[in-house]
Amino acid sequence: MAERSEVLPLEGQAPRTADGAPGPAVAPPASAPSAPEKAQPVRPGRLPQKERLGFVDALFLAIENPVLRRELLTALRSNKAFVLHFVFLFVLTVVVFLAWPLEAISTESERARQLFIIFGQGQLVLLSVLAPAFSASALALEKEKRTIDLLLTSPIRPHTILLGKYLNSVLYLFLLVFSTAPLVAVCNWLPGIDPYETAGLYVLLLSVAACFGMIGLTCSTFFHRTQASLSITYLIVLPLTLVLMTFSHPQVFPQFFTLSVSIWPSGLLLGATLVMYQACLKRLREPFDPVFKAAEEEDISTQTGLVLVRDRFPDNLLAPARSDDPLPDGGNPVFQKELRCEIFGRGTLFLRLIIQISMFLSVVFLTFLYLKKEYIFVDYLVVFSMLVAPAFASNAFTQERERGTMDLLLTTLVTPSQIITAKLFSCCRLSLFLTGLVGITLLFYLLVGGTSADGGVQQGFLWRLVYLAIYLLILGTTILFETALGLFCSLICRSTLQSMILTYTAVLVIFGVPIAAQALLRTFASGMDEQAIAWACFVSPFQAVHSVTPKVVGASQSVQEQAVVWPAFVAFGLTVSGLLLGYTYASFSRWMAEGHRRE
Amino acid sequence: MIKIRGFTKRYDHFVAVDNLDLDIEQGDVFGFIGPNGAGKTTTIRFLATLLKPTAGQAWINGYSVTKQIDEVKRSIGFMPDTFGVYDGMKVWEFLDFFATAYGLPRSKRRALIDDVLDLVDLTVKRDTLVNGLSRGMQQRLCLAKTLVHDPPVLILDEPASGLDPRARVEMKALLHELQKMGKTILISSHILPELSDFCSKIGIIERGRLLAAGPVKDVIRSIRQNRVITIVTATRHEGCEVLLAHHPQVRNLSAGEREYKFEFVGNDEDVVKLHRELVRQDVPVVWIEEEEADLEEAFMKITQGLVA
Repeated sequence: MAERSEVLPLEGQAPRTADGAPGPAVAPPASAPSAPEKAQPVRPGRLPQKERLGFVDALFLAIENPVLRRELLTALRSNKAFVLHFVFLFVLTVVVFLAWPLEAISTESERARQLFIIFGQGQLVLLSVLAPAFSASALALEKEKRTIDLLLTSPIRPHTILLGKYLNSVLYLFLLVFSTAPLVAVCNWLPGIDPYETAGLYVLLLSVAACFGMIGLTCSTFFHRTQASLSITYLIVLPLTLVLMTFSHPQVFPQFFTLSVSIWPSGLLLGATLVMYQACLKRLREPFDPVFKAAEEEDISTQTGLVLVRDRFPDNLLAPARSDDPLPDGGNPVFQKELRCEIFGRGTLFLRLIIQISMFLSVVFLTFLYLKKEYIFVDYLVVFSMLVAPAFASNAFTQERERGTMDLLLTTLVTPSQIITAKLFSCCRLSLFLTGLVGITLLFYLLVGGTSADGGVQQGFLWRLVYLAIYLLILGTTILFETALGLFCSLICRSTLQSMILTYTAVLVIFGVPIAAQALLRTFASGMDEQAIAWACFVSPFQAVHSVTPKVVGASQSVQEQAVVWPAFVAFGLTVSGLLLGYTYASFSRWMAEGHRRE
Repeated sequence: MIKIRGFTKRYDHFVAVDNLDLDIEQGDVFGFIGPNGAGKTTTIRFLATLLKPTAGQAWINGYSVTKQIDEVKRSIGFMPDTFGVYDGMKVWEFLDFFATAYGLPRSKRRALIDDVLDLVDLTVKRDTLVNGLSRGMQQRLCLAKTLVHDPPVLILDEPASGLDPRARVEMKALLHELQKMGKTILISSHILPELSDFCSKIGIIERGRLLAAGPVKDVIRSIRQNRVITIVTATRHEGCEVLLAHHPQVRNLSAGEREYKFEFVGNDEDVVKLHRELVRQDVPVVWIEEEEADLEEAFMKITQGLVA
């Protein structure tokens, strides 16, 4: 007898049989006439049949991570990874080559140790620069491109996605670390370097790579924008590097790289990595809502107390209160737009985190004001500006292109000069405001300063006022330079991520490399003219900051007067900024006149 | 109103558009159709002053697209195929920004914004953040943006793409309204039945070459070459079938019980002659009908799908 299946009835209808004939009327159950009907369990449908796998296939499927495979495929197809690897090894080889003790190899154990420590610290710095670039965009980019939905709706588990992204970031970092082994092996020929110390260094470096990669991935999981993720990652990673560098300094902790010592910070870093991994996993299991991402960020900021209230001081300096009045006539509409709206487009949570982390760090650095070493506090402000200014400027044009608003803007009557001045002023204003907020305590210098460090030269109040003005001039020039560089990179790069990485790298090379080279020269080329070394580094704001207050420099045996390089730095900064902005203006004007090719 | 002469765009060795000539009169609604990658967007971006041509020239409202850029920008309202909105901006602020960017005075802007919001039916969303709007609403907002400076020419690249059926109908009604206001509209779209509904002219482009352009019916007829005619008789008539089968202007006859469908090579007068002949033979003709021109069929016929 053929089985007759029943079609579920609509509300108030008698059930019908599958061939459409009315079925027998069903009386409602007398016991519970008004009670809500219990949901009938739905019979699960048929799933595509699973293929039977052999043992080897099943094993490979279990350990294979499709996310990792895709990431590695796309990463290794481009030659960037190989170029970066070459640069990494080349820099470290140059360091070892320059620092290699040529004479009396068998007796120069102290210099060999210095070489080893500088080698370790160099790797730490390189890792802190590279790790965020690899991991901070991992998930944020998927969210921006909306490909995260494709991943989350596939049977791939969040754990697999996270692990794939994580391994892709850190495996390359591990490769970088391991590939330096031959260089360390060469250093092991020198006396005074314990093999346990070498092992300790590598344990620490691998833990640092694992932890920094995880910090980037965590930021990438919690932020919707690559820009925010990258900036916050650097903001966390760079102070951590500074702490590790301080501990590894021979005068602070001579045996820091020994296995028995380095295992402790390594353990802490790995522990933090596990905690972050769990937090990311938890977040990844919750749905992402890309449409209301801005609103979501606002919600998070409200929940965590990080609220940006437009009509309250000092928030209204950052984002002016909303007004019902139309924009004023005769002004620059793009600047007004940037001022009123773009600040929120960057994410208030991102801005608040920047402010709060930086203010916390500034409290630590305040100590240097009391130690009469105000220039170290100014150094911190320069580092802070190096983090925030590129973050704001490097997406100025790329974001308009990626968001699809560039065409709308270019078909209006706004001129290239209006667009560029608006972008320049709004980015400078933001960076200056944030740097000012963090560095407001520099005013204490006027009260507590009195003697400059090392030299014992007296500073009167008026002199302190003059020095403060010079510090502000250097900071202003630095921010202008970074913003101009960011705008330039934003014009020539295709994506915000490319532009940000290029801007950060350029800023680091121009400002940081001269100082690192200076440290090397001081350590390994004793007897060099201090003034010559200082002038060789005049493009770095750190050198400029250190040349403001008069102090004596050099070893106690050969005390020399310092070179006053800050006017040269200011002149350099303003000139290069002018050139960069001029080029940006010319390119943008040409671009507008000739039409830009569709990406 | 829009005149293109010899427009060519090359990217290295790839020719995106090849020697395109086009004329669109004032008040025309011109539908620009073609497969993906045919060169529609390239042409539209050239007209919107966003692209420098390799060769050729165009004039909008009498102004040269390459030389009088500001005048052209004032004359057109441009809606790109993909566009975004600024985060953290309210709907009225978005329109106010673009109105300011077009140099409209503050005293007029408030009323103007209210008017265009009313036209695109977004008045209730005036104070909503633009990034919180649905796709359909964002499309309408972008259309409002193109109207804010009251341009005589509208250039709309795929305005209905990604919209649900209701939003598409609303968009169509809106475009009808704009047509009534006397705007000249150049619109590209993939939804062919809708285009044939309200476009006065169309242009079909493939691989950068304009294959056909002109009034919709003329274009379709020129592509189809033959008319498709259906004759229905009151009763079955042997003579009718014989007459049609041997008629020199009839092709591809398919005869049913009382219905005869065939392709006819000839003009209106030839159709009248055929009708007289049928009556002379006592064929009980109930009706004689020419099949409506179908844009989709014509499009499929003329394009080979080489670039899709």
